[in-house]
Amino acid sequence: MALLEGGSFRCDESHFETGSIDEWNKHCEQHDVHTESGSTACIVCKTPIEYSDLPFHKLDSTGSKNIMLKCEECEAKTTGKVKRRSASTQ
Amino acid sequence: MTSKRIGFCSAVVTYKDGSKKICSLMQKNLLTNSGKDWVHAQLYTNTTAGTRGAGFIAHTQSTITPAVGDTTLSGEIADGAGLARYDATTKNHTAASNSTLIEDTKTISGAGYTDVKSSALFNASSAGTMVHEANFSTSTGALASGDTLKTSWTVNAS
Repeated sequence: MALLEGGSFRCDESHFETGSIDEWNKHCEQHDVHTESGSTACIVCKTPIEYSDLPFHKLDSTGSKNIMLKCEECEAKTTGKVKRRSASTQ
Repeated sequence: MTSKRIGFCSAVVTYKDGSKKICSLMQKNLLTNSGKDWVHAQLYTNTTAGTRGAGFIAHTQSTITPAVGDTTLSGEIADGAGLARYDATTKNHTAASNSTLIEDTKTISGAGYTDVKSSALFNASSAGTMVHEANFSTSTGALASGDTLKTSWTVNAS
């Protein structure tokens, strides 16, 4: 591990490496291996959500990915029915 | 030992009137010595389960000079106006990359703050190991009740 020298974004597949947000966003949008996984809170009720295999989210001009998801219950209230989603509640 | 940098810290204030101030945009942060030791323990040397990840965000109003030997965030905010150390809501890893994002937005309440200047990542809600720290490139200035501070830590480790 190069823990002492970090800073650049690095792709494990193509070994592409850059310190540019724009270049990183462009690379990841063109390579579907860069999915997102993790945890966040439902944007409606704040219930913790774990997710995986979300499409790549670009880093915006403020350094944020703006990952905004709804839990199954809130999604169902929105759509009127439960739909298959990539995110699920804990 | 020279300062070691790994990843970035960004911070954006949104004021009650809707205006925004970018205080830190992808400001390089520092991996502390204790953070490095903690990473190696988590990955290699622990013989029992490790600790929580370093997903707790802290802030300070103090002027600091981040150094690898730091183990605490000088002047860490501990009051109830919104920025006492918190478990970040969003923790995200981008597959097939070295990049993880730790992020949350906090709404200021009560008396607010005079000027928030720096942030750090810890592995516990109190005490614990300070793994990363960073100064904002521009401090927030006064934060009043109703303003928000969005702090985004991008950690690139591989």
